[in-house]
Amino acid sequence: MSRRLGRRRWLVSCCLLLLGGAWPDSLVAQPVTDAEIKATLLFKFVPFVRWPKQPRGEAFTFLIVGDDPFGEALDHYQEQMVGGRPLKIVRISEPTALPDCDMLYISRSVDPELETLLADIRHKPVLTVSDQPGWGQRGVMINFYESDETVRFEINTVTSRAAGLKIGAQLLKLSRIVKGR
Amino acid sequence: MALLDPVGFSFFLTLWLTQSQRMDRLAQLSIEELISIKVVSAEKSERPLSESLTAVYVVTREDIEHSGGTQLAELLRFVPGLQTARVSLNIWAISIRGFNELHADKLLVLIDGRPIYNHLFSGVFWPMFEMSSDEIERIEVIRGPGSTLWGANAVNGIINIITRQAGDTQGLYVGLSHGDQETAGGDVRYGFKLGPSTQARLNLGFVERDQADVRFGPRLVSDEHMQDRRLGIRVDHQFNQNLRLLAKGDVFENLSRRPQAPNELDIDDRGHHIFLRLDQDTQSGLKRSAQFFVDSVSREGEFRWHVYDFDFKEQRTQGKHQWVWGLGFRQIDDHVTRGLAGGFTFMPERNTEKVGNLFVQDRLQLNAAWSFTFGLKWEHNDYTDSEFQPSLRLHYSPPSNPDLHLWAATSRAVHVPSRLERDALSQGLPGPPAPRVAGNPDLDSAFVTAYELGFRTRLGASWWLDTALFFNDYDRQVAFEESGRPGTLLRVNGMAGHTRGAELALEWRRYKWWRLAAATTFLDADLAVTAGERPRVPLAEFYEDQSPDRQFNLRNQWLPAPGFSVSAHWRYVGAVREAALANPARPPRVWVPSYNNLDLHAAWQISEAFSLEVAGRDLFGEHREIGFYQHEAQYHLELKFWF
Repeated sequence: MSRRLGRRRWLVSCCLLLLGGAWPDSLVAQPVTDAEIKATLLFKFVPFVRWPKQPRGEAFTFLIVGDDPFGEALDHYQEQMVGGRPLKIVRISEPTALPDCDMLYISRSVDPELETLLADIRHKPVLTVSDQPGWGQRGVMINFYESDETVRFEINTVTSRAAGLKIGAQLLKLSRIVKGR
Repeated sequence: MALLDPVGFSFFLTLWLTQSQRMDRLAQLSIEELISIKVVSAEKSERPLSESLTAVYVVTREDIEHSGGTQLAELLRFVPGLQTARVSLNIWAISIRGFNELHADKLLVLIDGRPIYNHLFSGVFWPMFEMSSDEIERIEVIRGPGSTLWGANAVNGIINIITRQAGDTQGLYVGLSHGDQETAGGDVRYGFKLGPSTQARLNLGFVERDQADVRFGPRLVSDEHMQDRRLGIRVDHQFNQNLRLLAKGDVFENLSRRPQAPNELDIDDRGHHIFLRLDQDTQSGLKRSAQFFVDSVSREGEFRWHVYDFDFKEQRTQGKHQWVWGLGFRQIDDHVTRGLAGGFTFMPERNTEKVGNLFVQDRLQLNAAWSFTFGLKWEHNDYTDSEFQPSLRLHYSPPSNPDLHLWAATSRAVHVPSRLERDALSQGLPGPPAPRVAGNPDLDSAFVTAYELGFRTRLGASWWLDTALFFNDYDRQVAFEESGRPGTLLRVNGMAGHTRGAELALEWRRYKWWRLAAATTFLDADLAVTAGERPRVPLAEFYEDQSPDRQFNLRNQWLPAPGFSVSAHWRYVGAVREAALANPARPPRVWVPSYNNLDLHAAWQISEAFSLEVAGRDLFGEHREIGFYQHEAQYHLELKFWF
């Protein structure tokens, strides 16, 4: 059911029809994408997560393994402060020899190696995030899912506890709790 | 029907902002606010593909809502590679990749995993499966043989209808409709919770269709009237994260009347079914499902049967291998005195048939991009004993572009003679004397060897392209031979040949509120009746011409303003020869010319609880699709209430 639309879009629709679709892209209203919401949520989570007290790097390292689904949405956060430290975004294509990081986004393309990857970092204080159905049960700590056209997230409390991360009650309250691994 | 947008963010954020401005605003929102914003997902605008290794087209919930169709067949009209033609008010001829006729017999049709084709002629009595389009989640149409994995009779393709889960249809819904032809329609659905992890739904449906002076033959005109009533229940229960149960059942009554000459024809169908399925889905890639159903149907004065069916399937991933294996058993007890609107008598009248099968398939991931699939099914039946249906498939999808799929396949599928082909004797028809057709208990199975090539990709940000080419080599198809007894023809395995074709689906979706979809189907058949001991009826050209050689479809789905949707569907269908092959002894020599026509549908969601829909069908005016039944422009109004 998606009959709800902005009035502007009606105008745009008319224009598009008249112009036969030749309207310049940049002027056309673009709805919010799931990637934008997810990118924003990622860094909203950080204040609600407590990492174990261990010597950690200068910067808050956010690692993306596999294809980057965020695109330019993430550029907005480049070099901003996250959890009191400057954010460093690192992208790698293969899930081998992972550099140290605080938060790890595991992309869909890692599917075949997901179990190996999670086993490798099981006891490291790394907050893992993904957005694939069933990956919460497979062990990813925060997994985005879509419900009723909105972005929601599930939290795997078993694996986050195993890694020594404490996830705040306010965040758990907004999530769907899953267990597994 | 969630019309919830508590703060109107999506509208606000949709305004003329650049992405960076939009990200700034998003950053100011709380987590609660962020998770209540409606989004456009790139993945959602893709077609959900359950199996990307085959030629599959999915009719989504969105397609269903935009089509406004009230009969199942109307939701299939725009699918590439599919032939749909209306025979009368609620009787349809539907097939995939040719051989379309009233008694089309090369298709496997499933509702939630329950096969609904009958053993009588290996086709579907479509009027027995009226269902509210509100009940359907999606329809997957798979072209090409699928017998290895999917079950018997999937010679040319599979139509898999998946209904909505009880959890997705909670609350009370009432739909009321009225139209020129569909004079009255009513759907009541009530979804409720039986426990913390148990949801249930009750469906009550009623429809009445009426048309005066329907032409059924050169000299046969009659009013037609039909009524359908059904009551269904569905329960979804989640035992734990890995195990769930689906229980379904329904009872129906479908009555149709043709009062005029030569004789009044009454078709009174009744039936009920119970279906249970357990699905286990563990995290380690192990999936199991077991299902059991009992299906009973009867047509007054003609037949009655009970089907008992059990199936088990397991899928497991081991390193580079993805194994699927399974087994199934079906028993059918029937009592058939006449069949197919009285045209045939059956000998023996009572019969029990048993079919068992065992299958295994392995998908081997050769490297990141290539995979190879081999499958084999063994099926045992009482008539032709063992049948083997193998398939081979090579699939390429580069890791750098997971949206691109290229595949090639070859497979073999078997059509086991139906009860009609084995045991039926056609009755004399009014008019000049003509030979009768006798069934042949010694008939062997017919088979096809199919070669397929497919390509699917995303083109840029907003285009989707899906194409398939096929070459189907048929052998031992049924032909009609002089039996030696005067005036009687016998069904024999006596026709061979091939069909080839191309299917193309192209979709444009730049915005969530505007979508264009086109589908094209080309089909060419070349068949020949082989020489036998006795002369055979030269019917090959009828089979060749019974399906259109060209079909074009164009759909526009448009959401112009909040709460409004407007969609149009234009189609062109090439000429066909009337496929009345139920009477092969004297087939009429009638061509149905090509036609093109337009359907429009508009919906207005006036409030959360009420919507109004208007559909106009065949607005360009009269046309015929198969046989004599004439389509006329008609209108249809529907009111929908959610409580």
